[in-house]
Parts: sequence; C-alpha cells; structure tokens
Amino acid sequence: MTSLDENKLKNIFCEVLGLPVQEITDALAYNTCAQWDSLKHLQMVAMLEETFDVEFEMDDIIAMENYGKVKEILRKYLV
Amino acid sequence: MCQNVFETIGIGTDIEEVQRFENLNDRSFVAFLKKNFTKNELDYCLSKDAPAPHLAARYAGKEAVIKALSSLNITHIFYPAIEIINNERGVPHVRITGEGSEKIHIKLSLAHTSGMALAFCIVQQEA
Repeated sequence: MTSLDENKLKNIFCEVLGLPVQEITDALAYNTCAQWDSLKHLQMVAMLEETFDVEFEMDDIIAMENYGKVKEILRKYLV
Repeated sequence: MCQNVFETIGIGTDIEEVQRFENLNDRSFVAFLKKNFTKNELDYCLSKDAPAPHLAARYAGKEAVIKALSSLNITHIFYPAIEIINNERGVPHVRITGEGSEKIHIKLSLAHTSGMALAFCIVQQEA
C-alpha cells in the first residue's frame, strides 16, 4: 500500500485554488469555497492524477465535494 | 403527446470567462487541457492566434452538453468523451462516445466575444 503524502495534496489545493495552506482543511468544500468551481475542480483532478499517477473514475471525480472526501477517494486509489 | 416529446429532449447552457483560458504556462491548466480536450480540439484551438476564446467556447460547449444530457438523466458521459469540432461551414459538430451514444442527437451553438464564451445545447434521445 502506498501512503498518501498529504503535503503534496495540500500543495495542489493551494496551487490550483490560490489559497494559503492553513485554509486547506477537511471542511473546505466545493459548494462553499468561491474559488472552487467546475473548471478549478477539473484542474485539480488533472493535477492529482499526474502527481499521484492515478486515473479516477467519473463517479469519484463527481464525489470529490470537499477536501476530506478527496483524501478518502485518493487513498482508495493508492492501495 | 407534447409531454412525450419533451421527455426525450434535454437542454443545457453555459458561460465562461475567456481570460481563465489564457494561461498556457499554468501546469494545472495544461494538465486539465490534456485530460479533458481531444487531440483534434487542441489542434484546432491552438492553431488560432488567440486560442483562449476557442478553448473557452469548447469548454462551455462541453458543460452545456453535460447539462443537457443530465436533464435526461444521462450522467455517464464526461468531458473527454465529448468532442466539439467545427464543420466546413464553421458550425460546431458534437461527437460523443460511450454506451448508448448512437441514440443521442445533439445540436450545439457557441458564441464568444473577447471577454466571454457562451454555449447552448439541445439533446434528443431516441426511444
């Protein structure tokens, strides 16, 4: 099992959403974060796939509605 | 009778800011383009002196198609499976891949100014 490097994950969120790292918490959510729209979501997914060498199923891409959920889904692919 | 006709038709629309498609040096934007646009789409858009309005219009088109399909409860077709290429008259033609795609007919209209890109889509699903 490959463990998740959470710093890498947070860096992607910071880079794509333009937020400081202290704002990247499990509660950070698509429907309440003004910077996190559909275009940024797809940019983030593309970065996650490149960085962690995974390819997400469409249902998982749609289910990534907050940072905590992204972590949970990513861990599933790193098994 | 009318109710049955509308049960087979879906509509979708989207609007995008062109400036968000200008930064071809942003690695997350480039990764997004590679994952969600087809080679034909990228070849077309990147052949233009100003690719951003064309990229924005195509992305708006894909969003509009997804919304129109969703209104018919068709939710398994995602951005890379939707290809938007202009025909010889400049009219955008949509080709989708995926289960049941041969029974889906799509009309799409795109428009853009220097600042905004807009798309409107009508989908009809055969019974």
